[in-house]
Amino acid sequence: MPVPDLDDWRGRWETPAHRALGLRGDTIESGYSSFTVERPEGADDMLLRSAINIAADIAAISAVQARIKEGVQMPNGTAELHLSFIGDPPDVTTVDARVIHWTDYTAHLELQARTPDGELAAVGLTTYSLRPLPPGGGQAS
Amino acid sequence: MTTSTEPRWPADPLEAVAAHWQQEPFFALFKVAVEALDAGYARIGVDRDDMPLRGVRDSINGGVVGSLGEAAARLCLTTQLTPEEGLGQTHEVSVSYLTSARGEHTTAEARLLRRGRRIAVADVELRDTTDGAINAKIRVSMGIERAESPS
Repeated sequence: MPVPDLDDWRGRWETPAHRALGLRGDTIESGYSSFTVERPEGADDMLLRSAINIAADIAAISAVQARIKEGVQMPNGTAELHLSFIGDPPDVTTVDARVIHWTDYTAHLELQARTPDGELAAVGLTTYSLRPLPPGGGQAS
Repeated sequence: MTTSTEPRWPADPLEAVAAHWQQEPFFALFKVAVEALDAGYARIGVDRDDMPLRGVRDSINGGVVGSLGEAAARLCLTTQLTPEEGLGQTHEVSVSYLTSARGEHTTAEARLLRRGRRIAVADVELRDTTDGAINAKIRVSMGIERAESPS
């Protein structure tokens, strides 16, 4: 799957639910993606951590999908996601996912949430499951 | 302390605890219901039709799965807090996704594994209630805040 058009990709996250979480897409590149999470009015820390968790998951999926070569592999879903929160969630964070290892069947990504000043608010790792396709396309068994 | 007004279990009936939590922004946004509470145990549930964020194969979004685990774990911990204690920040949420969460009704069932003075750890199973399949296993570690003793 090629890197999507930036405006198209950002538009995917402009739903009422994403807005209610204060979440918007920032950057999409091959193997990398970032989102901004901004505390919505009336949101408590639980909702904000949820928004960071959701941003981390969709940032990872976006980063993987933008790196997959069409006809070679296909996405198969998140396998593991581990996120450590460092202190109270700040009102504004940039949540990004970066591919750090890639094989036929799995991709490992590093996750970070940072404040506008660059302070770490959360850090994590995720494993994404991939499915290799047989030469010539089609679904692997 | 951020939770001084939280109802206490078992001092308050399930209805009072559920009513309080279901007004929390996360519970309200995802229409999460508090279904069961006991000492060191909590179960919450969501209906698929009410879920605004979907993931692969129209399942519940993976980030929401982790957050449901966190919410169930925090609720579970409140059943073991004394009046001088409150919920602290969540330190870690660790999710193993086993199958896609695509059931009509999905529950997150939390059990407290260890409750120390300052940190507690809960184990959560996310299940499709139709076939009983476990969709995810989630481990959550959380802080416990204590009121300072007057000197």
